[in-house]
Amino acid sequence: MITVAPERTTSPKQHIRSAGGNHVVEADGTVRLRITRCSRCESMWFPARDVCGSCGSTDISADLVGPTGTVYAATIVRVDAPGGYRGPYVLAYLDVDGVRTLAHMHADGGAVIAPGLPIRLESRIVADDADTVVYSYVALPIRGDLL
Amino acid sequence: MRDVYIAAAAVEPFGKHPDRNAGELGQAALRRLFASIDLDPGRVDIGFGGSTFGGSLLTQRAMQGVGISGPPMFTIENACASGGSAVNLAFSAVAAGSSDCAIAFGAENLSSLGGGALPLSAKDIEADLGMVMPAAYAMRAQRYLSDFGAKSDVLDAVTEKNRANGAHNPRAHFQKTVTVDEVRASRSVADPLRLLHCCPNTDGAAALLIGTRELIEELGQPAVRIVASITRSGQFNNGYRDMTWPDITARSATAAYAMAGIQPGDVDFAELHDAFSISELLHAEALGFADRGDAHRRTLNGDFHRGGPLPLNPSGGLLSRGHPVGATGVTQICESYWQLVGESEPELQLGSVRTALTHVTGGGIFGVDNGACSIHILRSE
Repeated sequence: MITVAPERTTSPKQHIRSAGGNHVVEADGTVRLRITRCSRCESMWFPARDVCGSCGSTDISADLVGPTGTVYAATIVRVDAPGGYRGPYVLAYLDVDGVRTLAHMHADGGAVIAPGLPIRLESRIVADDADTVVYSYVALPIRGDLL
Repeated sequence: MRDVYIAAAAVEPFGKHPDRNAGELGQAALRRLFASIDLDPGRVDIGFGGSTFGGSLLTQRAMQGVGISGPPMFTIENACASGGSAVNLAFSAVAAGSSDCAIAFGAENLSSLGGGALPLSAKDIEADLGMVMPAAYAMRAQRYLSDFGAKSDVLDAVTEKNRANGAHNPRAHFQKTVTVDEVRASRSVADPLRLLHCCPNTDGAAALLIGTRELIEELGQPAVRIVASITRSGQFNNGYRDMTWPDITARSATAAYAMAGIQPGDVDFAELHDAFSISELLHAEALGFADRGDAHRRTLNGDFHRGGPLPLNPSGGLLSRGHPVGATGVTQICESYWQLVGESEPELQLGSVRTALTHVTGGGIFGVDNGACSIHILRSE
């Protein structure tokens, strides 16, 4: 596992954690997701599993997918959620090389986050309060495709 | 399999009851149930209580309040479908012949959790990333509106309709109409869902006595038979699921219609799971009440109003009654029972109705549309 959090100065009181499934941060900051492929039924799983969730087979292999994908659907959450999440924040379901995953999304103000929007994944901070800093993979619109 | 009937129904009115825990609310519903019939509580030979946050041995705590202890009792946790699952198990016990007289109830106190979105399991990967139920349904709403060319007006229309129905229901948490302008002026929770597109957190309980034909004849009760009782779990799938098609509801509905030997067109009215306005559209389609992608047009056409060809949520739905999680599936059946026997309040009572469908579904965990879904079909004989 070579998940790496980007360097950041935190206050001594802050606890740093990573949220979401296992992933790999490349040297350029982009993220690839560590998935499982089932050799029997061809299901794909993220987060990675030791048993196929569809057929129960343990004949599985590991792979990496991403860093690009598309938005299936997105919403701006305007309430707070447990874990240090303070609204507003954007959540999106992403389609990444055959797996559907939930992630936070960072977009410039005014950018329309519509189904089908192409994105790339990078490691970013998704929650930051007095007690905790949370890192995860975050979807960013791929510039050239923003209308 | 034996025929199974509803022998009595009772609801402890929904609302804010911060001073009573789920066990006490369950007791209150059971006391109303026994006040409505002449039955020695010792005749009850099995009990199922549905609750998500009610705690250990809820069923024993509630049943002791009406003098029942000793027979087998089970507390059922199946998220929003906990109450429907409890009814499903009571049905199965009577149908199988292992019980003649069963109790199924649901009870919940959500006030104890504080306000806001219901807590999801912190062990769930999506909850760990900040997922809340309104956000899950907001994304389904965005995708539905996008895929089928619908406008968010239809979400306002669902709330307006169900709140108008609930305004006549003395057991509802909200007994007041709202206008579409009031819906649009309510604060945004998760775009495109606003506060009045979301059901409230509510406390309450509901109870049913379920038994054989002989039991209802002995009690002199009208004959409303449970002709289908189905519970299904969500199919785990991490691929490109169509989130506008609640497959757990579709699979449950297919099984329920087959069990009852009827088609969706044979249903006279339905109480379905409208935790959010978008849910009514998605579920109306998955239950076969509207063609794929057409529920928004049918809603705006008034087809699902109480005067329309297929009233949906004539008791007000979750949007009016509120959603005391474990009690919802049971109260849907109570409200439908009173419709079928003609005992709903005059303002709530539909015209001539014979067949009702109730549908409850929920549970926000990663990889499934919902964790659990229960469907019941009732027919007056």
